[in-house]
Amino acid sequence: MSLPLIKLENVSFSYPESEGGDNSFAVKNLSLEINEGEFVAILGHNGSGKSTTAKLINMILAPNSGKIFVDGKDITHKDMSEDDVFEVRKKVGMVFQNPDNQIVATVVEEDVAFGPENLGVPSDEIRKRVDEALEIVNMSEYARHAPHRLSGGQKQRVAIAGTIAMKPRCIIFDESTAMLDPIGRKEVMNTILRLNKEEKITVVLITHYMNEAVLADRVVVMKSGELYLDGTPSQVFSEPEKLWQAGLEVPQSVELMHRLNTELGTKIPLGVYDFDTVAELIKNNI
Amino acid sequence: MSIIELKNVSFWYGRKTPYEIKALDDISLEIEENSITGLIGHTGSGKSTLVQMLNGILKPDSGTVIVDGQDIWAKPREIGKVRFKVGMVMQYPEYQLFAETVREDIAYGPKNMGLEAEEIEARVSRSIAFCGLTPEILEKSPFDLSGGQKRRVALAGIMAMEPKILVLDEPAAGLDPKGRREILSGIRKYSEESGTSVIIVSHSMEDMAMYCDRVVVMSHARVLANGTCEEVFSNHKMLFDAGLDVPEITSIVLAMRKAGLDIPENIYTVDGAFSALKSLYGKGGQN
Repeated sequence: MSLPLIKLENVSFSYPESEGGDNSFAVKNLSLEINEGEFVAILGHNGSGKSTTAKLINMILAPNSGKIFVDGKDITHKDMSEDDVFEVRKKVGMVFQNPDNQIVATVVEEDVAFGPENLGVPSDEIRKRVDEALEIVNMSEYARHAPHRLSGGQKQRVAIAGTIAMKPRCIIFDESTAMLDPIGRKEVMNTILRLNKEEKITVVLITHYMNEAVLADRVVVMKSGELYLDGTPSQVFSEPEKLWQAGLEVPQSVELMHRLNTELGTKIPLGVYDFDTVAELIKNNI
Repeated sequence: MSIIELKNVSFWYGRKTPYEIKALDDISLEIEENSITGLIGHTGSGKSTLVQMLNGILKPDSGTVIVDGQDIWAKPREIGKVRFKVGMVMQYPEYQLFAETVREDIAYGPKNMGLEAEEIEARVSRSIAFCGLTPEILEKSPFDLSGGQKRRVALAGIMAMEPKILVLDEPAAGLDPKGRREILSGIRKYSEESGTSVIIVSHSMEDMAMYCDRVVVMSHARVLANGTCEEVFSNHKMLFDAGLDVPEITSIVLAMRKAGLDIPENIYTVDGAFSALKSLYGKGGQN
């Protein structure tokens, strides 16, 4: 059994400006392991600690207590040097919500090259990485374009390429589809799936969209800074009441099957299925 | 009765330059009074350009925009007045909060309208109630609030101006499911109780189906459809062609029909699907 790529042990964090009281913890006593190659979705209400957790893993924030390991290394250790921090961010990349805040250059390929340049990668290697990264996100034909003329989904894919070019082992997407239209969201989700399945990059996807979470291998639900549910999408979404209590919702298919079960007495096994399977299950049980 | 009427409105960005883009192509459209209208369309379809026509942020290159019975460009110098009539809540409006306290921020609009202090106070109280906020929040700094609270404060600031028409661009973007429901049902309640006509721009077909009375579909600078939720969401092909989707529940209903269940196809909410299944099969109909 290999080591988990990311491991949190009893991690707590409170923002300095919040005063006293137990409620002030943004993340409370959180223990979580993410294995190499996994695709984990993190769900939770606003303020549940999702984004704080991402920032802790990426060393943007440091926990008040508890330990965090990335690739076996204790990143909460007091002797972490600046180079060590760099090393962690190279392993765990992040893509944020607003593509406009993440693009720095005036030409797509220069933007993608920005990360590896800062890592001191030799220039012929940078060329190779940029081309590969744009290929993976399906944006090669836009290499010489100006980012500000691209659509939201395209910009977000450029931001992803910039992260890939740093060769991370894991990418954390913090609501990276929230500002996109349905087509843009599909483009980005397809890219994320490809990164995970083909490029074998570990993916942590923070989202409010249940239909994105169902695509993950595993769903982690946070509530008020704590770990609330952890399982496969089918396991997590087969408990609608628990999700509703956490201020979340279930896919409409699950909601319908749940209502049929509770109000019409059908016994449809709840879970996450494609539309045709849902239809068959309802047909056979009603 | 229509509260807004667009007659043959066209608009270009960068007209007569090599970058000319036609953003609105001969649009004629009526928006019904006292209703909630959803405006959907892919990125670049012209939605944002269209809503910016409604309060005179943009001026049509040709055609007429009539708001509440008046051609808003009849007297171009008085275009500012239409902004008190048509309240506009942009995307991520919380970035526009600026005052030292929530009270001052919400009162800013009404103050600029030249209202009496008492009236302003009454409006501030009413609008926070609609947004699900309590009076304690009024003395706080808007910058100490959570994202969801900031959004509500920004919305309350526009509601306090009591516009006849309220236009909201993705009011629930970035909120969690519970926050989405609260803010959208708050808008619904506000519209019903105050008689305000509301236009909501959104990418969520599910939200549109749940909270709107009518839906306008835009694609490639034109209006493809303008009808009730039922009329629009039952026209699956048109929606797919416009690069949009139907609500998830509609896809499931279509799959059930394919599987041989006798369920009508014009269903767009979970409630609707449940009721249809209940009346068809609930009393031991098939098995």
